[in-house]
Amino acid sequence: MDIIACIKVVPEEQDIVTLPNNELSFDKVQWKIGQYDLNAMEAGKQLAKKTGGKMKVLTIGGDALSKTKIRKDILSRGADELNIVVTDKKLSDSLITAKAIAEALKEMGSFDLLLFGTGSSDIYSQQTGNQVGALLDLPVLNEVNAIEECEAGLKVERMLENEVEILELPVPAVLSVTSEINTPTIPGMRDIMAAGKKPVNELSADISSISEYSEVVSDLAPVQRDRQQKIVKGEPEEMVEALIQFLNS
Amino acid sequence: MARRRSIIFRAPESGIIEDNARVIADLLQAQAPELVLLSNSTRGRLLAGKLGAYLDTCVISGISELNEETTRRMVYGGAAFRTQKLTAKTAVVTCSAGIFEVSDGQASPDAAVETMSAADTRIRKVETQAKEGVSSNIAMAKKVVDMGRGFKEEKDVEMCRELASLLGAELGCSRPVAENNGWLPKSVYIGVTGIILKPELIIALCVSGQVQHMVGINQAKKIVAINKDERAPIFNSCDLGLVGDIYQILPLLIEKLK
Ligand SMILES: Cc1cc2nc3c(=O)[nH]c(=O)nc-3n(C[C@H](O)[C@H](O)[C@H](O)COP(=O)(O)OP(=O)(O)OC[C@H]3O[C@@H](n4cnc5c(N)ncnc54)[C@H](O)[C@@H]3O)c2cc1C
Repeated sequence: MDIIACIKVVPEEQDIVTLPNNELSFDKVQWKIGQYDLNAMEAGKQLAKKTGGKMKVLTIGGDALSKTKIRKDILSRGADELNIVVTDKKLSDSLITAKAIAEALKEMGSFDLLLFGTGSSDIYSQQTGNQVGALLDLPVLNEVNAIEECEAGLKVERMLENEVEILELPVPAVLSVTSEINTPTIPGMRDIMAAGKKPVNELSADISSISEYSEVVSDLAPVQRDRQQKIVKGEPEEMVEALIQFLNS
Repeated sequence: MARRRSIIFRAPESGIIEDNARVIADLLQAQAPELVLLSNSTRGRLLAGKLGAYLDTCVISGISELNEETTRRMVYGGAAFRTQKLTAKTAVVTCSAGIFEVSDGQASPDAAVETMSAADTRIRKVETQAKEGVSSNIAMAKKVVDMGRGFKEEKDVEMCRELASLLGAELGCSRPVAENNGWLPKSVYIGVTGIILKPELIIALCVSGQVQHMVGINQAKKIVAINKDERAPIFNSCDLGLVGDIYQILPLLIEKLK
């Protein structure tokens, strides 16, 4: 089964700084693979292995994607090939991203399965996979918690709020997976070495003319409540005493 | 006011309701509403995404506020609230339960009801299985014990549960405790993608204080934190912090409370 995992490179949350005016500064951020996209790549890797296929990775984003380190990081997680669209277009809306992905896919040839994480760890709209599926007119599902090959194509388990659905669908198809579907493996030395030898294709997809559907007015940190910040160290007895006093006050 | 009209879509026996998206989109196109509201559930989100694509408009999901022209939702794992203006004609928005107060008298008995079904039938439902339902009152609780990933074993849940019952509190947890360890149901994990609480008191045990979790507890009146790492960020946003090993503190606390 030929699989393409679509992933997003996102800012490391811990490096985002809140400025005194409550705006955010991204000046010092490192870029990393979105947390939930690791699950998508792991699911792709496992399914490709089981079905004797390949997994390619597609990612679209800004300058951060030009760095060798992040490219190697992606390739060390089981991808056979990395496809990149570097753009200065702000992908602030899932439909813009979905359209850009659909455009990039035209250059990548056929596939059986497109995989997405449940949401990007920065904006977390949980929509890109759904919208790519709709744009390409393919069967599409979100919150998929298990995938296997079957006669009809794929058999999947999907998590709803109060029940689990077992569904069958033909390929090609588009699935977004949960963060519980697997535990992403940490790449070993050998994976990291091999990553350097895998192909990286910079696609020429022109996405400049995709229009915006919304406008970001502001991103502001929530106002923090003042806390007493009374810190107690020492013997467990003293600490428990302090806690009980606090509860009774 | 426009005539109220209800249309009920039914999923075919062996399909899913989201596969009606194309028909629904056609209906919406004809009506050109300014706003399409859906629940931020698994089904709601898939339907929203498909409608957004078919109507060629943006989808804003999981909003916490809706105004005349703008929406607000959390981004960057809770580090910020994004205010977004919808510039497309029809906005598709999903929101979670509990965002709006429900008022009476909205139901419209004179609405015309039609039933439609015209699903795309490529996805076939084989069966549905019930998830083990665990009911919890955590969203309403006055006191909450919050179990973090620092605990070593599943049986430690019992200690946390005992503390909760001694305090008359509900037990919740951080995401990894529910999702990675599976020690507590997903319905009780706290944070930006979980539940957001507003109790009188939260006691956070072995919780490091990452922003995605903190947005779920930050509105509590009082926060107590127990963590062995004195540099854990949670100590910057708690009222009382105990720096120490949970396995020494918790049994002693339970004993004293008894
Ligand atoms: C987009 C996105 C959304 C997310 N949404 C959520 C969400 O909604 N809710 C959520 O919780 N997380 C969420 N996360 C995950 C979040 O980033 C953190 O990984 C998570 O909250 C950490 O949980 P924790 O504090 O329990 O565990 P850890 O960060 O692993 O902290 C464990 C703590 O336990 C302490 N400890 C260990 N042993 C002991 C001991 N013996 N005694 C005392 N202390 C001890 C350690 O010092 C440490 O500080 C999200 C992440 C992303 C990227």
